[in-house]
Amino acid sequence: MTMPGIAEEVVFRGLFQGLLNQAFPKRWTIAKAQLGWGFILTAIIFGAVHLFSVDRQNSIHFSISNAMAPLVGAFVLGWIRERSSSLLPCVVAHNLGNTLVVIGSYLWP
Amino acid sequence: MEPFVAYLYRVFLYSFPIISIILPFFLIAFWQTQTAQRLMVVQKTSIVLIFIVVNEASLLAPRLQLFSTLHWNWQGKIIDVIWVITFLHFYRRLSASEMALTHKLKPDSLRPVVIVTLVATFIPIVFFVFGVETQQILRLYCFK
Repeated sequence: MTMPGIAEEVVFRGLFQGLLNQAFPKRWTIAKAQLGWGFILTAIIFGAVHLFSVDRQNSIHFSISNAMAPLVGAFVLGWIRERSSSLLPCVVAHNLGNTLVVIGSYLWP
Repeated sequence: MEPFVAYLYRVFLYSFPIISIILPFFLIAFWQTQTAQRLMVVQKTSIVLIFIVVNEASLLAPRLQLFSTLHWNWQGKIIDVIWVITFLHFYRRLSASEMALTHKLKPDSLRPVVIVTLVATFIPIVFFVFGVETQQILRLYCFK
């Protein structure tokens, strides 16, 4: 259950946000975290990627509601990344969130 | 259609709308950048856009027998991480600290990060309990 969180955090908050932070200077400070376009663009990419999902048969599903939580979550995780300068709390938060989603899917089918 | 061509077609179908959605935001950020920095911005953002396609190609790749019975797309995620490691091996202009690949947190960040992490943990469950129609879609989110 931990792998999706680790891979997505390394790719999005690690690689993408790292590269985009190099490209765009950090302009704003929100709750003691230095933020720039890298933070915003990474969150939008993360939301856009979750607009679509692929099942085992490689069928593509489109859902705006599916993208809302990842979009909001990406802004929060992006802030955590910039505030702490570490992916570790992002991985923990991501995987805890995923775990609760799975548990929730059984509790509220 | 040949399976490999069909696979490439699916990757295109999947990546194109994602890039179409994010491209306007990239352009806004680009226009706010100083002219002298624009070449570097194009280079970095091109890498990101290419990696979005690579990310989708990894996730859509046909499963090997070893991974086919697993509920989660382990294969896609492992390939994703391998791509990042391979890229970083050759691309030396992004350090581990710039990627936030460290277990050490910034001084005085532990308390706010723990609080926000706990809040962030509950964001998906709040949205999905009230926002998603079926249990199947709920699982698809994590499956991806």
